[in-house]
Amino acid sequence: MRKAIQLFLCLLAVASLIVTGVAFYQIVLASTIHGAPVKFIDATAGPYSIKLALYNDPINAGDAIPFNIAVAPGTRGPLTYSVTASPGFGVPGSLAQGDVNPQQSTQYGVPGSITFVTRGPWTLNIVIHGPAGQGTAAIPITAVAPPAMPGWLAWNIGLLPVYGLLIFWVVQTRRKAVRSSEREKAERPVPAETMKGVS
Amino acid sequence: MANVAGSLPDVVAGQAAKSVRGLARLRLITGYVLMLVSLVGLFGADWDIQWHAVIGRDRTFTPPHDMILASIGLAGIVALVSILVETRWAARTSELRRYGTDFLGILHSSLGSYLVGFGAVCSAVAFPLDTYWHSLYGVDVSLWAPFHTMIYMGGVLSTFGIIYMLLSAAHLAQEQQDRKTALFSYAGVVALLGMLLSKFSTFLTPAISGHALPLASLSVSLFPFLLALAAVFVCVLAARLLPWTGAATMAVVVYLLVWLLVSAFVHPMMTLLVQVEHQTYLARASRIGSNIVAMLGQTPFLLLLSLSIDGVAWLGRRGKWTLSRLKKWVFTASTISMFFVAGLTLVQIALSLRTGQSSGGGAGGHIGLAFLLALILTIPGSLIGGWLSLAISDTLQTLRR
Repeated sequence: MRKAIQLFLCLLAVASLIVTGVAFYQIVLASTIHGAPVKFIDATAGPYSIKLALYNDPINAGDAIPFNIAVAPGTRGPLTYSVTASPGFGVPGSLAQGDVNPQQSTQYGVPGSITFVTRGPWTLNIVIHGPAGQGTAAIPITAVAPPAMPGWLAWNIGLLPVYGLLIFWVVQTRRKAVRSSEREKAERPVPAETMKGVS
Repeated sequence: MANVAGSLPDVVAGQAAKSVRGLARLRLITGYVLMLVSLVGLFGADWDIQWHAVIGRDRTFTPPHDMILASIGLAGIVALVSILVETRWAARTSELRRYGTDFLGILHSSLGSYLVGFGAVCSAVAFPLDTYWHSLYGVDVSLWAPFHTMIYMGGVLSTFGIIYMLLSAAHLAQEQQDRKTALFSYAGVVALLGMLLSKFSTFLTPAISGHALPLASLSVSLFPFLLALAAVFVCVLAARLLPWTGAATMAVVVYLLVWLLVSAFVHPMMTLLVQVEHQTYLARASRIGSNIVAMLGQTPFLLLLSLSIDGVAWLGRRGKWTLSRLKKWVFTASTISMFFVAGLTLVQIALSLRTGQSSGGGAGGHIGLAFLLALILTIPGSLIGGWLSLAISDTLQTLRR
């Protein structure tokens, strides 16, 4: 019985860690390891015409979302980029800062990534500085989330360490009681009548 | 020949003693490494709460999150390595098996290592789940959200694991009359109890603002109840587990040192990182001001509680009180002192926030009554905390693994 519980706990821990690893992959590595873009958005940032390439559609809230920004051919001079996302009305989010790597360039433009923390409408603000001046493009984006987990289930999962600790203490207390009674039995003097039989 | 036969058991016993001493030292070193790792997580968590309060949450891998994740990952790795090392030692010296706990018939290690591992797995699993929860409900999710609780309680579980490990090291060292190892092990337990109190106090922050008990037209703060529960639990645990006079006060002093360290760490790190990452403060940041949100519930008044518990323990030792009499007086002293500690803390928080709302005040001019009711809740809080710590310390003292 004890071994079966231990085996179950061990398998559960391994399975949970594998699922966690996959989730972390989605959150982090998916922004650098991905296939071809699945969606292109044309926009204008002041004097610059840009094409935004997205690798996800729909866009999952919470994941690092990779993108590329390509400026129309013929634009001269070095460009610098700044990408932020501001939450739409009623979205409980804060300003999100994106990462852009202007040193790298792919066939789809300069790569970058950003996280839309919460589901709902967002505005992706792309600011470009260059010899032709500064321009800002505001691109509306909607982030989606998986279906909501029921509160009772979430709380029961969330309280697993507390349940674990309580079960552990209950088991320890019972084991302590068993040990104490065993010790008491061992220390109890043998009755005289029993001793007569022995001699 | 007879000489050789006579000395052989002595040699074997000597080697076993050496191995047991080595085991105690291994547990001591592992415990201290895990304690440092846990401290990194504690700083990360306090910094993160402040980050959420004044900046928001713009991605999963913010620097405070990185600190928490590093702490979780390192705790898991160190626990695993310690389990593997102890298993190897137990395979070589069968004598050591009785000082460890068997897992699946393959692993033999201290009970504490398994607890640390379980805590680390829980916290690691909770991290992506927390990202999912934020994707549903946004950045304003309370600290008392399901997966924040899971990350936090995973950390608490790990802290208990380290306490088990160091207590086991202390007990083994005492058996071998290795005083230095025993001393450092007990000192580690004091430090961990202080950190545990700090973690609990941080976790109580939502009870200061918002989460209250609705009672007719009153809104009674749960903070005094929870503070009493956590503080009495930790202080009584310190007084019961450690063979030193003043153990509870030592734990509270460590808790105050952690408080000072976090105070010195969070503000400069926030300022630095806001500049480096070109972040902007949320509108509510001006209302929060210079408060470190995670530490609103932390107070030096807890010294009053620890001193009263230590005082009773000292009197009990001097007067050779029976255990039941000692327990009765510890309960009485902790309940009375917690009543004052909670009252003073609520006033302190109200002054700190410069608003009457946080003191558990109710609507319609019933602030005084709500305040009194909140303070009365310290009585069940103290009793439950004391009872829990007595039950747990009893098992901890008996099962020395």
